[in-house]
Amino acid sequence: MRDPVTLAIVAGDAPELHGRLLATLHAALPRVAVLDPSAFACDLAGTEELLGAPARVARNVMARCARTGARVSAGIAPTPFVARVVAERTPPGEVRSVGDGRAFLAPLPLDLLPVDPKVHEELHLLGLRTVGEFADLPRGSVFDRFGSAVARAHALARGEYGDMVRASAPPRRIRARRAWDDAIGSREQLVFALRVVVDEISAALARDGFAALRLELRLDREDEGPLRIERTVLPPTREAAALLRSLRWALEERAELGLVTGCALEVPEVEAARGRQIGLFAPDGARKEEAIATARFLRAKLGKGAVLRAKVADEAARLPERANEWVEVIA
Amino acid sequence: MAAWIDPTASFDPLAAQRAKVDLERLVVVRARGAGLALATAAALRSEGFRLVVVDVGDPAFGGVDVDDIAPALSAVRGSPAALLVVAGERGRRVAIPTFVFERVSWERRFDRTVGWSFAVGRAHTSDRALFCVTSLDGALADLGTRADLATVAG
Repeated sequence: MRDPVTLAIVAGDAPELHGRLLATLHAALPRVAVLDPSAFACDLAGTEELLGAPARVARNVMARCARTGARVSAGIAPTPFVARVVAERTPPGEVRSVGDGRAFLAPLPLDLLPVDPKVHEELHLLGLRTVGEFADLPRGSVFDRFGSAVARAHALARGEYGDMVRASAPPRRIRARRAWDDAIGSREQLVFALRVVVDEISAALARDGFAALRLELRLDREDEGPLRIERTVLPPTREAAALLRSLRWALEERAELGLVTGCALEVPEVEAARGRQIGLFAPDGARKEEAIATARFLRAKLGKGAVLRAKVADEAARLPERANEWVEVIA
Repeated sequence: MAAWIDPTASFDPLAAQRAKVDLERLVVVRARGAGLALATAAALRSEGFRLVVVDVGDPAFGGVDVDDIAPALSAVRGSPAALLVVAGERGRRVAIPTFVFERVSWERRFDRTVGWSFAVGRAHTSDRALFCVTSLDGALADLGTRADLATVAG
C-alpha cells in the first residue's frame, strides 16, 4: 500500500489563470483534480521514485506555475482536505508540509469544515469553537445526531478521511495528417491511403488506453475547398479496421470526392477503452456489426448462396432438407 | 459469433442445435477452391468472430484438401479468433497442432446406433483420452486418459 501524499496548489489571486495552471499541472503530474477555480489537488502517492520527494515536486511545480504569471502556494499532507487547508494558510511562493493532519487542524476555527451553516450554529451552541474540539467528539455520536454529511466533516477534522483525488484525463489532441504528391481520384485508392493515417491514430489511442467516439476527417482537394467528414463511432473503438470501415462508409455516401491531395484525421472525443472478455461462449453482440461486415465482403466475393445462416424449421421432419432452412446473411 | 467454413455443404443445423450450438450466432460460409482460403482469412481477420471452424471433409467423399487453407494460416497470428480445422487426413503443407480422433466402437442399443466411443490424442504420441458420446442423454462421457488406450483404439 502506498502512503497517501497529496499536493495542493492554490492561487487565490488569479482565477483567470485557472486554465493555464491546470494545463501546467497536467503536464507535470499524473493525477490532477480541480477542487475550485485555481485550487488543485495532485495525488503524489507512488511517484517518489520517478519524480522525487514531494517537497521537491512541489518546488518544481511552483516554478512552472510561476511562468504562467500566477503566484501559488503549495501544501503537502496525507489527505487532499488537509493539503488544501495547509496551502491556503501558506504565503504565496512557499511550500509547507504537514505529517499529522489532525494536529495541524486542531487549533483552527470550526468554520473551515465544509458543513451547512445551520450545523455550524448548532456546534457553536454546543460550545465547540475549534476543529480539535469537534474532532474529539465520539464518531458514533456525531453520526447519530447529525447524519452522514457531518460525520464526513468529522472524519476530515480528524485528518482521517482519505477522499480520493478524482483526476480528469488531460485534454489531448489525437491527430494525424498526410499530404500526397499525386492527387488521389479513386475512392478505393483513398481508402487504401487512409489506412496509414488510421493506423497512426489507432496506435495513439492504444498508447493512452482510449477508444475513439468521434472522428473528424478533413480532405484537402486540388480544385475545390476541403471536404469535412464527421463520424460517430459506435461502439467506441480504437481498432484500425473498425475506424477505417466507418470512414469508408462515409466516403461511399458521397457521389464525388474530387482530387484529394491530403488529409487530416482527428479524434475530438474519446472514452476510456474497456477490456473485453473473449466471447467464445458468452453473448458478444457488440461485435455482430463486424461479423456482418465480413459476411457482406464474402457475399460480394463468393456470390449468392455462399454466406448463410441456418435455422431448424421442423425438428421432426422425415427429410433432412425439410428440417432445415437456410437464409442469406446478406440479402 | 462463430464462422463455419463448409466447402462440402455438409453442416447439419439440426445436429448442431442438438449439440447446443446457438445457430443465431453462427455464419456458415460455403466456399470451395480459392474461396476457401479467402473466407478463412477474412473470418480470422475480422473482429466479429471468436471461433472459425473449417470443416474440409474427407477427400474420399468430395472433401477438399486441408492444404488448401495454407494461405490463410498467416492470419491466425494476431487474430482474435481461434481456428479449428476438422479434416479426415493430416495436411502435408500445413503444420498446425493436431489432435487425432480414432473411433473405438459404435454404441448400439436395441439394434440402433445411439453413439460412439472414440479416443483423442496428440499426433505422434501414445496418450489417448477416451470419450463416449450418445444421443440418449446428449452427454459426453470422459472415460479417462491412459497410455494403454492407444492399444484399445488401435
